[in-house]
Amino acid sequence: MVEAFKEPLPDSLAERVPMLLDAGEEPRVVLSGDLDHHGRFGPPSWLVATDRRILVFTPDGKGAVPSANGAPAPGRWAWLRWLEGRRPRPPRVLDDPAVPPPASSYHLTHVLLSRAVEVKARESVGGGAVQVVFASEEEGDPPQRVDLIRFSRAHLLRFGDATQLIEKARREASGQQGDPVGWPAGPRKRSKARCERCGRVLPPGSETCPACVQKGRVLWRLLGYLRPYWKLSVLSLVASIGLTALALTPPYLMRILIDDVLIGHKSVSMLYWITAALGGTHLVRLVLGAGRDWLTSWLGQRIYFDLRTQLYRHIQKLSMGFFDQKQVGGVLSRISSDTGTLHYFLVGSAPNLLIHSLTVVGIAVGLLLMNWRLALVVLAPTPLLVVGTFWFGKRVHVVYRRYWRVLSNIHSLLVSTISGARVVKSFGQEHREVSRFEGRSLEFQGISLDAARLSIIYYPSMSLITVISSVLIWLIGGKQVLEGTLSLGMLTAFTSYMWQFYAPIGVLCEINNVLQQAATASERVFEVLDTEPDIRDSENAVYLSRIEGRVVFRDVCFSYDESGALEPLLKHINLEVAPGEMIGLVGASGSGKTTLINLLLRFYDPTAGEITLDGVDLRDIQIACLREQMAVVLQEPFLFRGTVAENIAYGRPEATRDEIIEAARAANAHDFVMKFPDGYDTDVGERGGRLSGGERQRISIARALLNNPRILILDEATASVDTETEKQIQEALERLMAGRTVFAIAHRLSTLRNATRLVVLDGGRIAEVGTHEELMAKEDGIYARLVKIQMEMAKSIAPPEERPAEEEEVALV
Amino acid sequence: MTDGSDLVLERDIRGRLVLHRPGHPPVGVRPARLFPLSFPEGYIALLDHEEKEVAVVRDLAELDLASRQALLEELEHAYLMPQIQRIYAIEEEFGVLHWHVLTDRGERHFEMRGRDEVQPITPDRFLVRDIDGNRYEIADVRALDRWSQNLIHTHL
Repeated sequence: MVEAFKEPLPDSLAERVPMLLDAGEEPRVVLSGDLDHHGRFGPPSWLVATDRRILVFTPDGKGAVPSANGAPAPGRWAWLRWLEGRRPRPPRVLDDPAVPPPASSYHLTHVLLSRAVEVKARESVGGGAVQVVFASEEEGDPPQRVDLIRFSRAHLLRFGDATQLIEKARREASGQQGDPVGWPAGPRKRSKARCERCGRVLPPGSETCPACVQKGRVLWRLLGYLRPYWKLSVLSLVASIGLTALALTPPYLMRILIDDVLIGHKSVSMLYWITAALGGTHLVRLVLGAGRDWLTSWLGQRIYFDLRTQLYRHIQKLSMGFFDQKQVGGVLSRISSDTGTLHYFLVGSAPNLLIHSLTVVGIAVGLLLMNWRLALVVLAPTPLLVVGTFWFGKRVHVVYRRYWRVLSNIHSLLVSTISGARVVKSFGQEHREVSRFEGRSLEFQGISLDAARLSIIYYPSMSLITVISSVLIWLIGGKQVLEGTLSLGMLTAFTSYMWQFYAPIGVLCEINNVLQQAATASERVFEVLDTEPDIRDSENAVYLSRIEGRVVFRDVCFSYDESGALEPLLKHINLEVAPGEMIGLVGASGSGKTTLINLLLRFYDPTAGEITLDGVDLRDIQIACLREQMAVVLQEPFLFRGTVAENIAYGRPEATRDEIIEAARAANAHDFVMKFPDGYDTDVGERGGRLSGGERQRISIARALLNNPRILILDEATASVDTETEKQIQEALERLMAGRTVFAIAHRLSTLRNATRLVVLDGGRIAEVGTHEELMAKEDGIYARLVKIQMEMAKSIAPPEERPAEEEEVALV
Repeated sequence: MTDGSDLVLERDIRGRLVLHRPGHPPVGVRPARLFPLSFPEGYIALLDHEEKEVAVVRDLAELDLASRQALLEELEHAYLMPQIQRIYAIEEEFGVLHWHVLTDRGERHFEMRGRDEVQPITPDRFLVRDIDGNRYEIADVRALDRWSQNLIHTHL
C-alpha cells in the first residue's frame, strides 16, 4: 500500500480504529482534514478507509470556535512583539506551518462501501470535500450525496488521489464495471512547491530555495567560470590591492610634507621630491585604475557571455514540458534578468566590494598603528553607522516597494487607456479615466514625499555621527599637537583617512544582500543548467529509416501538470490507425484533441499507457527520426524571421531552389510569392507579420511538404482564413495528404469530409469512432448533433440563390 | 430570470437543496454566486444537475426565512472564504509572507507567495490568496484593531 496516503493517527484514534474493523481488515487510507462540518478551522478531522468501509472522525468541540491559543493579544502586547523583532523561525513542517493539537473526543461517521454507489472528491471555491453518493431509494429520484469530510485547498490533491483509491476498492468489491476514472493508482509526481530540506515555500517557477542556497558553494561554482582566465584574474586582484595601497598614499605624503618638509627641514629640494611623489602616485593610480577596470569588465563580460550561451544552448535542448512548467516569461527572465544580475555582480559589485573591504581594513590597521587613541575616535561611530544604515535600508525598502508598485500601476493605466483610446472615447469615459489617473498620481506623490522625508532624515543623521567624530578629532588631536605628543602632519593625515574610511561603510553594509542576490541568481541559472530534458532518446533508441505510419494508442492517460489535476486530461485512449488513413479528430474545445496531437509529436510522454509507431514505442524511437517523419500545420503557423525561402526550407536547410519552388507550387504559395517584389527573398518580418494569415498558412504547408513526412498533423489548419483562401489551402492540403497517415483537427466538419474515420473526443475520452455515415446513423450521437448544428448555421448564412450549392457542400460532410 | 419572491427553497430528507416554483415540478439545484465579491448576498444563480440556470435569486432578502436559511447553508459549503478578523503577525522571508490570523472560522496560519496575492476589491477591502489557492477576506481594514492595521500597512 502506498504510504503517502497514510498519516499517523493521534493516540486516542489509533486505539479506537482497530476495534471498529473486522479481523484482517487493514486501513488503506488515513488522512487528516483541516475543516469541521461547519467549515471551521480547528483540530484535524480524520478519514480512515479500508476495502470495506470509510470511518470519519470529526472533533466534537461542541461547535465552539477554537480559541486563539497562545497567540499574543494584539494591542497591549504590540510593543513587546515589536521589541522582539524578527526571531529566527523554527523549521517548517511540510503541509501546515502550525497544526493545531488533536481533539480530545470525536464524532464518528461510518460508511459501508457496499452501500455507496460512488465515492469522489468534490472541489469548491476555497476548499473541497470527500463526497459519498448513495443509491436513490425511489426510481427516478436523484441519488443522495453526503459530504464526509471537509478540507481547505491545501489538502485537495491528496484527498483527490486517495478518493480514487477508495473508489477503485469499492468497484472491485462490488464487481461494478464501467469506465475507469482518474489516474492509475498510486501517488504521482508532484511539481515541487516547497523546499524538501526546510519546507519553505519556493519562489514561483523555481525549485531553488533561497534559504537553502549554499551561498559559498554556489559562488564558488560561479568563480569556476574564471578558471579559463585565471592569469588575468590574478592580475586583476593584484591590481586591486595595488590600487588600494595607492589610494592610501596621498594623506601619508601630506604628513611627510607638513612634518618633515615644511616644519622640519624646510628644504626646497625635498618639496620637489614630495610633490613629484604625489603627482606620480596620482598618475600611476589613474593608469592602473583604468587598466584594472578594463580587466574586470572584460572578465565579467566573458563569464556573462559564457554563462548566457551555455544557458541558451541548454534551454534549446529541453523538452516542451519545461517551457510549460516555467512558462515562457520565466524562461526569458532566466536568460535576461538572472544572467543580468550576475553580470552586474561580476562587473560592478564584486570588484567594488573587494576594493572597499581592502580600503576599510587597510585604513583601520594603518590608523591603529599611527595613533591608537585617535584611531578609536575614528572607529567608534562605525557600529552606529552600520546600525543606522540597516535601519534606514529596511524602511526605505518598504517605501520603495510601494513606490514601484504605484509607479507600475500608473504605467499600466497609461498603457491600457492610451492603447484603448478608441474604447474610452467611444464610451465617453474620458472624465473617469482622468480622475482615475489623478488619484493614482496623487498616491504616487504621497509616496515620493515619504521617500524624500526618509532621505532627509537619514543623510543628515548619518553625517551628524561622522561630524561629531571629526569635531572630536580636532579637540583631542589638537590638544595632543599642543602637548607635542602628536605632529601636525599626523593630525592632517588622520582627518583625511577618516573621511576615506567612512565612505565605503555604507556600501559594505549591503554586502550580504549583494551576495544573497548573486547566489540566488546563479543558483537559478545553475538549476536550469542542471535540468535534464524529460524527453530524450533512450539508450537503445532506434532510427526508423522508412516509417509505414501505423499508429497505436494503448490505454493512454495524460495531464500536463500532473500535480494540478484531480483527473487526467486524456483518459484511457485506445486507438489503432492504419498507414495512409486520415483520422479526423472532432470535439468541443478542451476535449483533448490538441493534447492527443502533442503526445503523438512526443512533445510530452504519456503519463500512463503507450503510443507505438509501426509497433515501436515512441519512447524508443530517436527524436530526430520522429521530427523528420512527422509534419504539423497549425492554425496559427509560426514563421521565423527570415525570407520566404528560408522558412520553407526550415526543416531541410540543404533543399535546392527547385525543391523549394516545387513545394511552394504544390502548396498554392508560388502564385503570391511570385508577385512579391523580392520574390522568395522577401523578408517575412517578425513571426511572419508582413504576410496575411492565409499566406503564412500556405508557406507552412510548403514547409511541411518539403519535409516529405510520413505522418501529417493538421491542427485547425483552415480555421482562420476566408472562404476563398480556404479553398486554395484545402487544395494544397489535399496534395499534401495523399499517401500519408493524417491526423486532422477541425471545427468546421466539412473540412473532414475525406477522413477515413472520425474520432469524437468528449471530456478526454473517445466517445465515438467511425466513418461519417456510421456516426450520422447514431440518432443521439455527439457527431450527428454537431453536423446538424453546423448545417443549420450554414443555411442561415447562405443567401437564398446560393443555397442549393451550400446544401450540396454540407451534404458532402 | 424568475422573480425571487415566489421561489421556495428547502432541504429534502436526503440533504439536497430543492427549488419549488409555481407551475414547475420541484428540482434539485446548486447555487452559484454571480458576484461573489461585490455582492455575495444576491444574484445567486440556481443550477440544476446539468449545470443549467433554473432561476436567479436577486437578493437573499426576497426569500422567506426558511428558504434563505437553506440557501445560506448550501452556499457555505460551496464558498469557503474565511473572514480575517485579527492579524497576529505577518512575517516576510525571501518574498514569502507568513500570516498568522484569526478568522471567523478559527485561528489559521498560512503562507502567501508575494504581495500580488492580495487583491484590493475596494481601497479598504482585500481578498487574500494563500499558496494553496485558499481565499480569505479582509472586509474592512479600518474596522480591524490598530495592531492588525499597522501590519497591513507595513507589509502591503
